[in-house]
Amino acid sequence: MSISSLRAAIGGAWSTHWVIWVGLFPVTLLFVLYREQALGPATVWWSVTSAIAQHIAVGLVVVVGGAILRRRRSILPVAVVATLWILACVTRALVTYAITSVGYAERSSPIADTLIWLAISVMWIPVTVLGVAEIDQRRLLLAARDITTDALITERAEAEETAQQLQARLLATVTAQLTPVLSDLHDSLNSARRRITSSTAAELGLRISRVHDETIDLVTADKAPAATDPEPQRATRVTFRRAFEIAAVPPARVAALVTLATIVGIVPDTARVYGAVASLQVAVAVIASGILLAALPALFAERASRGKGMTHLRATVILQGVAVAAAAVFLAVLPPSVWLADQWPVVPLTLLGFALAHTTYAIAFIVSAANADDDAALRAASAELDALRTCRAERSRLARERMAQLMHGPIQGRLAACVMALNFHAEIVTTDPARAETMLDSVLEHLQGVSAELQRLGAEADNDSPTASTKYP
Amino acid sequence: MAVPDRPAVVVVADDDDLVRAVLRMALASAAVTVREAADSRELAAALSGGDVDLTILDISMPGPGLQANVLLVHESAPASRILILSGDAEVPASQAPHINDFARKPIDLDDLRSRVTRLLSTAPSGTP
Repeated sequence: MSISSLRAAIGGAWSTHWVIWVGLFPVTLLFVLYREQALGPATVWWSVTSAIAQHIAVGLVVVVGGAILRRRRSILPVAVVATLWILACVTRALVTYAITSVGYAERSSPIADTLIWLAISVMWIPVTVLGVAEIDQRRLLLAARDITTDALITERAEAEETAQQLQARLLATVTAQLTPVLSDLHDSLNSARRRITSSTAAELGLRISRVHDETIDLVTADKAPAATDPEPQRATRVTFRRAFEIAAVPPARVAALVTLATIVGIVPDTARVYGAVASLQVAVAVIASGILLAALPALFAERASRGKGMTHLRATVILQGVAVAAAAVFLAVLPPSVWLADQWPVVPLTLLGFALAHTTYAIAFIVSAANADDDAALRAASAELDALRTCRAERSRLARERMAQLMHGPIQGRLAACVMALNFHAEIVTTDPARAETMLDSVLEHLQGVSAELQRLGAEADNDSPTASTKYP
Repeated sequence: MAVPDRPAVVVVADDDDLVRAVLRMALASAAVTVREAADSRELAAALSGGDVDLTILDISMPGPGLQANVLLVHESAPASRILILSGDAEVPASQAPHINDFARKPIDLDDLRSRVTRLLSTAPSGTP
């Protein structure tokens, strides 16, 4: 995870996105229910109401405020986003104070609440935003990489074709397309020659003119007739399942952040609800589990080095399972055990907080690292693709230049002469039939010459194609 | 289209005998005399006859190339205008300033006649 990617994620749309706001509600609801036990709500529904009201207030500040600010610029400065979230913490504390003033035994402390929410936000919001942004980015990145890889495979296959082979393919295409048309024209002209009128001559001239233009189009077209199938349409994003096919485990430093995030989220409220001893127990249990979490990836790394690559999902689940179980055991064995007192709610909350923190941080770190690797691979593939395309364009240019030389006089020139001769024939057929007859003979002779030249080029193409091996740059 | 006191002399230089024949028959009249050339050597001979008013030059005649042929026209017949006929869409940029007109083959004969008439009434282009 780099600072630049974190900055980009926080400045991007996800930091004030309604999906993240909605996604955070279940977690904050649990935290609010837990922490407000200390204030003695009349019923639990006061806490639920408080949590909903707080979350709506946060949504108004962050989501609505963010949307308004993004009207002018889609990427917000980090300071602006941070200010929004700080305002959200203050608002949440003030809403809590207002509600606890009505339905609770004690009023909350806006200052203490603000500080706790700020600490929680610092540890949880950036990493959540980064994780979501990286997953979204990953789906786009992998789709782009798939498209580039497909194009690269196609381009590599086409790179095997030499300029000589390309020229042979072009010749074969031109010959195959023109020969039947010319044959038809020749037959038409031959059969009509005894009763040819000026309009017939003009019409035949037009047909030859079209053949002439088609010949030019075939030779000078920007895109060579495709040797391979067209590229299939692809989705712009890959599936979530595909996005999580990552063969890596979270780095050891994630453990420290997970420990800190869990402590920040659970310990202050536990101190208020159950006292200092219980909060100390939680802190010790979380730190011990964090140490375990830091040590375990080394085992996975060793396993991976033996060729048993482990996916992100399996590694995370195993790590979490072990660390959460360890935390539960620590909370049970540290005297006085919270399991035995009425302080048991701290146990599931601590375990949940620990698991959530690990999931969030692990995803953010692993996906970010995988994205960096895939981004580098995409850049390399794109560079290779550009180089191959440039090379192919040069080969194509050379082949077409040679083709144009081959076609210019013997084919295009003769066809042009035929068109002009038939146009002139149309002018003189009634006034000078003898000269028109001679001209028609010349046209037929020219058309035969074109056909013969095409056959010769086609035969050359057949001979050149399989044996050609010289590659142009 | 005639130049005063004598018929205009037009040299048709093209390696395709059918093109030359068509152009000759299309242009020849009491006011225009047509000389033909199938390559650079024949072009030089046609130009050496003097009084050439217009040279219709195929862009890819056998011989030393377009630039040399244009130079030959300018040296042998400084008063001659030059009309280039080509299967390509455009004339090489280096030759554009030294010619008077350019047309793509196959050219419509009426279009050709009107170009010839216009060229015979304008001043020749500069020497390369």
